[in-house]
Amino acid sequence: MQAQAPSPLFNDPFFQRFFGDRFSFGVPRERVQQSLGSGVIVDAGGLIVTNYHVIKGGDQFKVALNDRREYEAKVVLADERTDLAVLKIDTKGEKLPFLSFKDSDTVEVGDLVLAIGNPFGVGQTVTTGIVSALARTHIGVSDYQFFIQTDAAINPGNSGGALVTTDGKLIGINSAIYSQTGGSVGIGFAIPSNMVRLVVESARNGGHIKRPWTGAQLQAVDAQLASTLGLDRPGGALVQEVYPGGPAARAGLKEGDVIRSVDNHDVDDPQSVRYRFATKGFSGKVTVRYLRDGRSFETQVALEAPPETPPADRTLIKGRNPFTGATVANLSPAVADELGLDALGGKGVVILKIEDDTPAQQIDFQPGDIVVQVGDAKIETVKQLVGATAGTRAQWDFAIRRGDRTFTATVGG
Amino acid sequence: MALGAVALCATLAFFPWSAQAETRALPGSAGEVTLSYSSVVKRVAPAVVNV
Repeated sequence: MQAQAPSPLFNDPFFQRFFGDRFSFGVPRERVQQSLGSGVIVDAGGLIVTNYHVIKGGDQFKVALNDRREYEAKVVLADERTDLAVLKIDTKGEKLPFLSFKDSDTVEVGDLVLAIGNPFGVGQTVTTGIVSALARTHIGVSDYQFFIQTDAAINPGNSGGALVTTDGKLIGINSAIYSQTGGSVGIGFAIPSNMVRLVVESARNGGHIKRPWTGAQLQAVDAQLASTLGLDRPGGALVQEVYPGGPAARAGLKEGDVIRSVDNHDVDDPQSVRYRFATKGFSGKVTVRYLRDGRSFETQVALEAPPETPPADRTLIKGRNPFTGATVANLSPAVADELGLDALGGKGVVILKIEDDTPAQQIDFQPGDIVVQVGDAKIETVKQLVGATAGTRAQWDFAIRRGDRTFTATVGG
Repeated sequence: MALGAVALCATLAFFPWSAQAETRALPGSAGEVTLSYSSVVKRVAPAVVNV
């Protein structure tokens, strides 16, 4: 699922994330997939980082080292929101060669880089190029997109591979390309090492990711909005709403403020703000510079996880009703953040996931849908939904909200 | 102050590669254009795997 409406690029059939199995040269999907993608050893003990989309849908994985030795791998952490996954292999105590992280904020456009991976399954391949751009935020591939763009040739199979600097440090995980042909046209995207490092640290600490949130609903400031607000230029993130008692509110940020930088890093849009917060971890506070009434101010915003208020009460809906097979929860900032919803939380019952081959899947509910009404009953809590869907009916009337739109439907019982 | 300068010089002497890595410059001669990244690749490639 995506946090925002996907970029038009993402809808373009020529935009390609390079899933290995799309290019398996006629090998049916049902068979064991060979060489799904690449990965990078980031710990001598056998911790390997790759893309989430490389391992998505699989249940058994093998890792082949550069010297052709193969190991069974288990998934320690799979994070769809960053499109990263961490695997572990048992090296029986052997120390493996690994790559060290380089602070991706030190990389500049024009720097030489090397891409290493296994394109098209031909074997390990090294290509070279430069950093073409930084902070690419409208690619549509993941929720925390803030990609390093490179013209180093990366192709299907390179997914999960390394982007390294000329001093041999890891600055990115190659994750996507823009292509009209399926192959490299010199526009590749890598997840910055600062985000990768955070996910790897989470894997080391039990495999559960928590990220700080702003506690503010933000909007990009385009040229038109900048003109309306009387700003000298577009850029930054407009505060639309703050969560009462949240980090932004406590720091004094208000509706109408325009955030221009986070810890001295300029931010051009809400994605940049989100990335800056997410990669800070829970290490105190960040300095936010913002504009209010044409004047510049600074404030310290606490780095803390979104609250789960009210309690999620995660429940799998059972019985004979349209929601059977859907796992639902009470909406809260934590749940909204987990789903990548822009909303600060609000009230309601949200669909978290849907089991295969169930009525909920047949009706085409999607994670993030908010259940508004069942029959005559307004739905604001999971308990109310469970009550409203109990028993059998000749027909079910319901309403759900998806994004800004509300849909109503009637289905047979 | 003097001690600090000595320490800095010592650091640079012990870690010349780190200091070089921070330098961004165009190739200075035709010879530099023929330089290779093979030593970096030899060091880095074993850490990249197939999944």
